[in-house]
Amino acid sequence: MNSLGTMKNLDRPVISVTRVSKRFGAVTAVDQIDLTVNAGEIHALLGPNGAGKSTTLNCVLGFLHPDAGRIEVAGFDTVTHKPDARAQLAYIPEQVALYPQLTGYENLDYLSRLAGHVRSAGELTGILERVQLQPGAIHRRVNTYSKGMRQKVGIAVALAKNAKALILDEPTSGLDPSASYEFSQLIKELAAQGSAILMATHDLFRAQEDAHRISIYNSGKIVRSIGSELINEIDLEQTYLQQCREAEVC
Amino acid sequence: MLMASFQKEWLLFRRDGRLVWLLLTLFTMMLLGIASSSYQYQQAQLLKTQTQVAERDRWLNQGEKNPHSAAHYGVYLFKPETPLAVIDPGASGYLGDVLFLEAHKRNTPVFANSQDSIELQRLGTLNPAAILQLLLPLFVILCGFGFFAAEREQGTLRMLLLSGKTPRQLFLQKAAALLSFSLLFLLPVTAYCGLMLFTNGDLDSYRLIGMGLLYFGYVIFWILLTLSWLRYFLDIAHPGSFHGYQNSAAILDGAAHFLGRHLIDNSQAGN
Repeated sequence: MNSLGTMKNLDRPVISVTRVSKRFGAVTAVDQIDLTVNAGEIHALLGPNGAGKSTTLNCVLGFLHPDAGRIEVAGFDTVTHKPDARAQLAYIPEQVALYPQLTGYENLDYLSRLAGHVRSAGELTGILERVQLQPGAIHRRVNTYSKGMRQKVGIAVALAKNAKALILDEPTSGLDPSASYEFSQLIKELAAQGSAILMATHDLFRAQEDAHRISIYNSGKIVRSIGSELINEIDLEQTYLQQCREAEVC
Repeated sequence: MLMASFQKEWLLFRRDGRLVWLLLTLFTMMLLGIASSSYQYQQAQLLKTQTQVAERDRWLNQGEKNPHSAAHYGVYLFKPETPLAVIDPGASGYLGDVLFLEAHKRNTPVFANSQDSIELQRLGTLNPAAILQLLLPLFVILCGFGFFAAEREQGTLRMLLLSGKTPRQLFLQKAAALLSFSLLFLLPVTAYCGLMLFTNGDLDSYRLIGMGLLYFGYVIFWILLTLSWLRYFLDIAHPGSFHGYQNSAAILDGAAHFLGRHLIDNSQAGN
């Protein structure tokens, strides 16, 4: 079993964001955000465009430096121990970035070896089969893949590098319902095996279906945080719209 | 890890038909350059030897004279060429390689090829040195910029950084791959020099090694100059982490500025 399968330390935050702020000139994109994602937890970030979700994710990934506050991934500070923190992360954006001239198998092999995990051909094929990439596509070039297939390879990369945390930015945007469902099942499977998942999305239905915790952003702040005990109890759409109206953004 | 990147870059290189064709074209030009340069060298050597024999005959048959008159009679001297001139003919084509030596006069060398050439030919003929000095940098720039522009355009630069590797490690991987592509150009030249070294006793091995190191340094210089732009790409994705290469780029910028200023100043002074 992959080391993602470990169920230890489920209550210990893998991702910890403490009073983080990020400004771009006069605009405060993220304002004193606090959030945590434990092992095995899916934490969904909802909010209108420009609310600060992606900025938060970029800070966690180390692509942006917070102006204030601290972010840790598996105990590594994302500013002072950036390579160590990044080694624990996998990132699946709306459009997964892969080498179009390489096959899915070659992409996985390279990115896995780059992360220091040399795997046999059988293991790599096994991982790609596990994420339900069609057998005929494994040795086909990525430039012939659909968006859903690319995302499966993205998840395979996360599995191959034994990532402790997954950062997803609008992962189901543009996917058909069937591909969205398949993706959602894979994410839930990863979480069940101990991965911490932080996901920014506009898909309220998927957020309610998949997430253990939902944070609603507005104007750079978390205006509402909903725990697992309430997620299925509330009308998420109405709650979301109400939060937006209150901030006069939507 | 280095091997993984190396294999990936070669795979991408092979699958990018344009680069393969470009490399094949330049490689063929290099082989043609060696063949053409070798033929010209042999023809020039033959002509030079025949002329030297004739000149020696002329000198010996000038008749009875006192030494001073003989000195005024003069003699032609021919600059010796080593087989390395096949690779890099140096400045002989511009400075001339025959000197008329006579008493009381300081003549300049004559018979420079450039004297009889149109201006376009002065830019360089098809010889290995011209290909290495003029075309190789273009290849390095084309490949080097492709390395990072493509990574950035495709978004794969973020995937690379998320592997947990530092920008320094990524820089070295790219530099090693680019160096390996560039060194392909030196293969025909190296093969020719190796052949000469074993078959021609006149070849000065120290000079050969020196020339090889100079060209190697030249390739490294262009690779560093090209990849110093990596600081720009990586600084965007990885802020505040690339000061070392900013410094190296600043040194190269400074060197280019210094050379440019002095060359321009000198040329203006010459005018």
